[in-house]
Amino acid sequence: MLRIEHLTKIYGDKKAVDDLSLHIRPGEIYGFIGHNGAGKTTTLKSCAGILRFDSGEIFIDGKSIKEQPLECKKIISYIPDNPDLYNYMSGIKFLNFVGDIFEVPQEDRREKIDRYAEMFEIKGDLGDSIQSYSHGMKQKLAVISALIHSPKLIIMDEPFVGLDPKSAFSLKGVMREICDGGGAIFFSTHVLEVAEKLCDKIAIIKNGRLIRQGTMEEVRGDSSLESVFLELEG
Amino acid sequence: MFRILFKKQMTELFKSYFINRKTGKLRPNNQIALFILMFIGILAMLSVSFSGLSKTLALNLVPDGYSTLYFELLGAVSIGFGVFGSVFSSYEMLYNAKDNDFLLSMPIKPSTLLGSRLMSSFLLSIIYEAVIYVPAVIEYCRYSGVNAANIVFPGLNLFISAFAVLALTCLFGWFMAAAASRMRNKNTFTILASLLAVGIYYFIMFRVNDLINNVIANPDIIETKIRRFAVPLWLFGSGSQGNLLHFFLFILLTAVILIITVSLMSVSFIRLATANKGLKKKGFRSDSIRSGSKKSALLRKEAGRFFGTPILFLNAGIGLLIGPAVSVIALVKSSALTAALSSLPSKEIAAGLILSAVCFISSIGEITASSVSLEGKSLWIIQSLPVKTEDVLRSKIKLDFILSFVSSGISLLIMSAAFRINPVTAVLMLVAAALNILLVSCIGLMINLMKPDLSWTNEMIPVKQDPPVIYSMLAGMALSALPAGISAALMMIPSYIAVSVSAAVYICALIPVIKWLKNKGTELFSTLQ
Repeated sequence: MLRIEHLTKIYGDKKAVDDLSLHIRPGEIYGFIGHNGAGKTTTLKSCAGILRFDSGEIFIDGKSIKEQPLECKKIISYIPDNPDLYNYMSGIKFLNFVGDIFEVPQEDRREKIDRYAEMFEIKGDLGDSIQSYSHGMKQKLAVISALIHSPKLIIMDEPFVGLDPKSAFSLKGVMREICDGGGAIFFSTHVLEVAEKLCDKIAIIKNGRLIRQGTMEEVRGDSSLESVFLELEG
Repeated sequence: MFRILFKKQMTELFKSYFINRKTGKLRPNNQIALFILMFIGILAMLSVSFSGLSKTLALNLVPDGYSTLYFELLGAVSIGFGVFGSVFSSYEMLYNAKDNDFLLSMPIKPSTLLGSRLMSSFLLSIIYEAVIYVPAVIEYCRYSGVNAANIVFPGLNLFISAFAVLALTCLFGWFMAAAASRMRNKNTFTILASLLAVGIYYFIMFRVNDLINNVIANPDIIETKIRRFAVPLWLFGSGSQGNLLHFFLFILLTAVILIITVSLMSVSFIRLATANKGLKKKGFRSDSIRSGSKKSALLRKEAGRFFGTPILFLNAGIGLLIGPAVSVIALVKSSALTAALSSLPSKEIAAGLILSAVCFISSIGEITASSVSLEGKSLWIIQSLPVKTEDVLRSKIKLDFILSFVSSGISLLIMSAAFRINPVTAVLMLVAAALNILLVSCIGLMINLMKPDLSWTNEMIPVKQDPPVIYSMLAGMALSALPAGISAALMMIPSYIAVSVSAAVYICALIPVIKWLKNKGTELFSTLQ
């Protein structure tokens, strides 16, 4: 579903991502962990087609994000770490906007919005201006907007930050459901317990370089993910 | 602490002059000097455009011994302009800054934060005032001679009156914030209050000739009235003439007003800066789930921002309201204006002049010039969606074009009727206006793509103060002069030819601009960070 090949991104004279390669298959929840400034967000943004990279390739469902960005973006969703949305819109207008861009049929849209807005307990607030939303509500709205067109791949940067425990639980359930349906998820997190319980595979990045990747068992062995991570981070 | 905060304020206001946004690095000295020179040049141009008022009043009042009245009037105009120019900026800067919560959570005294923001407001006031006041002093010196007293006292009064402007600005800002804190819908209140202020401003502007004539005809009566009913203004005028007692009384009065205002603001600053009555809860209705096309979604997004952001609506949309208003006034006064036009060397000039006037008014507010910057931190949304960059840019131009063309079209139709322009020329004027609007929109977008500002903490900065808005407004004003210029140059040719030539020039200019937007512009937007 997502194949990253020798991705390199340079800011000035600093290599933010250095020759990174990853392969995420359909059905996989892939966790991406690393210290602050390790290159996680840069990698995720590059995969989402937001950031141009210097060398390497990213393929989404076999298509190059460089060559066919629109085709790739049609089947992915991206949720940033800080969901700055259009404050001048109401929640429902924002969802309609995203639905229109992805050309989601009205009935399908209605069904998705009803389902997810109820799940994340935000339905009663959808008519209100986003300006009045709390951080968590914005995060929930960003999540719903990401699910509205049934993406094959969801790229998320710290998706659980700001969510209340019930919504975080619901999101984990949705993530699993999407992957069981043949989709894939690539997300970054600093909460290692979440990564440990939720992810099928994990990648650890340090100073822009991938230092370990594989199934949870391959990465952590007999230890906990936390101790492996701390040891690798050194 | 004050210095740090003041520096932060100044960096926010003028960062585009010093920092290259693409590289994030300090510009070389020669580039900074060039930017500062351009800024001064723009102020000088504004000053020149206002100097007519000083010239007329100085010519008719100073030689006849009404110098005090001259300074009273120019003082009132410059203070009024200063207040009008900075009142909404101060309100936004003081109470709506996005970093208020962050700074108030730090160990900073609210009064220090307030002081640093007031200082920036003071600088804005002095700039706005100087635009009117400096040519006024120059004109005064022309008639009463250049000597130390004629420069020092008026010069000091400019500085002192800037404090008076600051006090008035803050008082209005405080009143607006206090009233807005009690309202459910802040945006509507801000728009209504601002429209009222704009209405008063233009009411005075449209009547300025009558007012000047009245002053020139009855200087003694006006001066007596000012002494009786506007004592601070009298002190200002008299102080500018070197009356030491009045000069110091004006300082004292300004200080008292300022102290009262700042005290009032200090007491309520935290409450008002963090006030959140919450927006009116609208609830959710399932029939609000609607679908539309991609292109209409993009256009609705742009329209939503324009109508949902008061500072944008008021600054970029002001020309849309003024155009039809001016044309209605022209219709009412059509006989007098027709008589004035008939005194021109050729009646063929009228169409070009009208077209230029309509295009000029349309260029006062440029929606596209801040449309890229206003994406701000939400730029990731549009960049991550499967939508062509070209369509995104087109939607920005489309909104500007639709609104401006409706406004200018109405103005042109009314004016064509008022001045009995023949139908063929009127249609050609509409076409030329449409091309002008499209060209100015594209130029606004082009400049904003070249100089985007995505890191603002207050929408006021990209909408009102960033260079793209100023540059595109100047470009729009320069382009609007074309039909009048061509008509004047080719005085004897039929007006429809002059209008057609203008349209042809606009088309020629549009081709490379559109080509740039399609190639370089889309590339720049896609790589914005």
